[in-house]
Amino acid sequence: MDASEGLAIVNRMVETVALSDDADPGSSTTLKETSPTDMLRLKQQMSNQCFEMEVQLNAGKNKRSCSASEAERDLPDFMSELEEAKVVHFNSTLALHRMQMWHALEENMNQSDPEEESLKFVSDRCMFLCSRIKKLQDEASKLQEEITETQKNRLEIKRQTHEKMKEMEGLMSKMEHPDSEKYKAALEKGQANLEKYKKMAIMTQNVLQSILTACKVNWLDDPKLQEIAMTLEEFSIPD
Amino acid sequence: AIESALRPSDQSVSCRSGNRSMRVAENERRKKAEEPFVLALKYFSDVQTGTPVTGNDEFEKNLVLVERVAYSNGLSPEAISIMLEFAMSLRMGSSPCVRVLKCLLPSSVVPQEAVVRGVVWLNVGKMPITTQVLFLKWVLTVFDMIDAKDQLRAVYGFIFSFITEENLCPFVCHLLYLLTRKESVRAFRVRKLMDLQSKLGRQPFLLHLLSLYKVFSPELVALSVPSRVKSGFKNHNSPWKVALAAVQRRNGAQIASAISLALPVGDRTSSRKRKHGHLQIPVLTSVTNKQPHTEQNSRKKLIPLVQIQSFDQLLKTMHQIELPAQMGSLLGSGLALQYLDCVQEESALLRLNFWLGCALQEEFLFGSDDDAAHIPEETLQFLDKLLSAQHFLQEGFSSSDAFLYKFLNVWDGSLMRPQILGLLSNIPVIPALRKLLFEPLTQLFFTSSLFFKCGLMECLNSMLVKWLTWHSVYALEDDLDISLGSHTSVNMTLSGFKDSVMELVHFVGRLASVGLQLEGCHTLLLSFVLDFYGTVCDTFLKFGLPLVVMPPAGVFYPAFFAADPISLDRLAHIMHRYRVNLTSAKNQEKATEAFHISRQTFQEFNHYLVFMVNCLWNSRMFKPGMDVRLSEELLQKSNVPQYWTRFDLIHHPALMSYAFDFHQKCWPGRKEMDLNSIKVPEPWSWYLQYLFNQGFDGLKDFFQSNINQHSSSGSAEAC
Repeated sequence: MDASEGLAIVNRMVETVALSDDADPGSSTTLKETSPTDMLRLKQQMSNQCFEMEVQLNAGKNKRSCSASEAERDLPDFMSELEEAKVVHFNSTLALHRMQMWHALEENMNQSDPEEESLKFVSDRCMFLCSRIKKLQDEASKLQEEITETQKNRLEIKRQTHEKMKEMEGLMSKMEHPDSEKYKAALEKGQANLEKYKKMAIMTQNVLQSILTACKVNWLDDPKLQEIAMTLEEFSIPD
Repeated sequence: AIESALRPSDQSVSCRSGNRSMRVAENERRKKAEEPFVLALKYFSDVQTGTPVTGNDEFEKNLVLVERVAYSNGLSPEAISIMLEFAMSLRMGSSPCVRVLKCLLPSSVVPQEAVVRGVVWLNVGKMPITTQVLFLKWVLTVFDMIDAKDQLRAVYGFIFSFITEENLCPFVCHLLYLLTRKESVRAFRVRKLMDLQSKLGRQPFLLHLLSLYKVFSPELVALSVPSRVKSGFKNHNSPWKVALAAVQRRNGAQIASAISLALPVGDRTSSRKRKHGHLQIPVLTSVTNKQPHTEQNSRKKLIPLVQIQSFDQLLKTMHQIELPAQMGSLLGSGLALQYLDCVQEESALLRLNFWLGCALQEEFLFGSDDDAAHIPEETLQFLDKLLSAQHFLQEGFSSSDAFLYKFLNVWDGSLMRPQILGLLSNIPVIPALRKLLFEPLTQLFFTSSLFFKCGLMECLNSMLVKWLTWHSVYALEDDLDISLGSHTSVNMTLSGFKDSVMELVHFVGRLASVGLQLEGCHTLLLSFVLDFYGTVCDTFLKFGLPLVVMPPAGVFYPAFFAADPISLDRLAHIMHRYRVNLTSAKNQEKATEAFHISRQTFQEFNHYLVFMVNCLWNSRMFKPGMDVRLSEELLQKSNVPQYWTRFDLIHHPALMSYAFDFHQKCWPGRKEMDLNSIKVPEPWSWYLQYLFNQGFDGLKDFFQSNINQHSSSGSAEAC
């Protein structure tokens, strides 16, 4: 039952009420007495039917939204089915056409007329061109193979170069002074000191740069100051 | 009489003197023309502090003169020094600064001392902020024309101090990006940048600088920087761009052509009217201008890359080489690329990719529409050089890949086609291929001309070969992680790689099927498609990748029904190679359990094989169960007798001419051609010989490996 049916039922009910009204014009009191209960009953029926209609409508809505997402999921499958069908159709048509065409050509070759002459000429030319093309293609594919081989070799060399560079770096970082064990402690202490003084030097450089910046002087005009200021980025001992 | 006698000699004397006076007059005139300019410069270098500007006619006259020279031919280095000094020292206040800065168009180089002085004056003087911004923009615009950079690096700290000024920050970051070396990365500078970031947010200019710092000293920068920061630095060259281009064009013959404006990126909101900039690879220079002299006290003498002339020299001094200030210049020299590849210095690669990305974006993605059809010669040369650099290194650059993904969405398919397709073929395997690459390519493919379709097939074939070559060299036996490029950090497992290859092959199969339908099985397109499958059929034996993918029905059948023998022969060759690969794979599987070819692949292969043999050898075409379905009554309607023989070795469209030729040679006397008479055993074997001698090695191999010769009707040996 859907909306229109429900409406029809309501219309009929209203009609029956109207008819019942008309049917008993005289017995107005009895009508008046029965009409509230009838009205209530009617109201109850109508609300039931509205409820049912609502349920139907909602069910319809849900069904629709469900099918939309399902359709999206199925879309790629349908598309590939469609494409497959197209392919089959195309191939079949192609086979049919080619078969018919070449059958007609075969028939034509048997009739000796000027058309046959030109057909023969064209067909001979095609064969000649095909053998030339084949030769060239063979050459090309040989060269292409050589190219691919060369590229593979170059790539292999590149990989080996990188490996060797890594090895070299590893070796260089591991290179130790022959008497390192003996002087290890001293070396460590020396390095710690170096780090400390390096930090101090860098900080001093930064402080001096900041002072010069804050003073807002043109230190380029004083040769001595310039000499100092231009060295404030340098640190001759590498990290 | 005396007058007439005198006149000739007079004339000669006066002629000579006239000539001499003309030359002298010319020289004087030229000197007079230069004189005012020289005088003007003298004025600006000598003017006293505090001279008023308003109402100063002499100042106005001289400035107009300087501007005229600047806009016509550009200013000489000395002129730039003088004018810059005048402006930045604020001797006449800050009002003339803007005008002077705007006319500072160099004709050749910019002396770095002038720039250093400018930077120092920037700190000293009380310039309005907008003028300070203009000065920084100017430095960035002419950066590549500054003759050396060592002094600028010496004042790195002073430049850094400007970073706290919010309006100057983006441009200061850009300048620092161009000047940073490993020694410049100090902990307190990193701290300052991080503080700024917490105040200003994750601005792209801060991120760029921090990522460069991170490359030099990863232990100091704890922040995780995204590998690809989307936008670049802010636009800085708009006040000078047009005028500078005009000056350079005018001076084009005189200055070295490589000293040009390599324009970094602009933002999208800039003016609609843009000219194509000069897209050129900068020339390789060294950082310092001084002649190299031996310094006793320096422990490590660095040799600038530009001085290396031969490969031997490169090898000897490998660890002492100093990279140039402009990384883009590395693209122009094979030796430089070799060095870059060996040493793999991340900071150099980062800056090279940044420069390349900016140049490509600026030129092609923000270009004007009016002359979109006409690409200047230099641009094509630039792209060709980029291609040859990639070819030399045998891999692409991440910035060019990123540019291509964006460009494909706006490309029309015909502009710079060979170059773009060449760059495309260098794209490495990445996980997000479908969305970035396949979707735009699909759109382009189906709306383009036949030649584009063929070109794209070739490009994808080349891409596949490159992936497979890379895999065959870099994938070790028990190592499942394959790094896909020495510059990329993406690692893939073997199965991931196989999936990507399969995705590519399926994609091409689909393109080919529909392309062939659209173009009516055009022979040229078919040839390129068969080239691609020529690569695919040998992935296992030639490249060591355990993968076999059969061609789809949309490729196999059009190739089989082809009207030219070349395609048919190629198809036979490909099927032969598939058989060899599959049998080898099966044997290996039994021996080592290495990998597993799915049953479906075997089924597909057998299906095609049986079809081919049945049609060609057994004359059994159009039987039920085949993929080519035509109903009995349709075949009857076609009026073709014995339609099941129509695609065998005698009647096949591609081979019929040969059958005719053979028939004539075999029975020269016969008037009527009866091709079925070749079917008799004796002429049949001659015919086969004749056919295979035409150069059809593919057919020969195919039949030799698939037909059991001893039985009279060939039976295909299925896999």
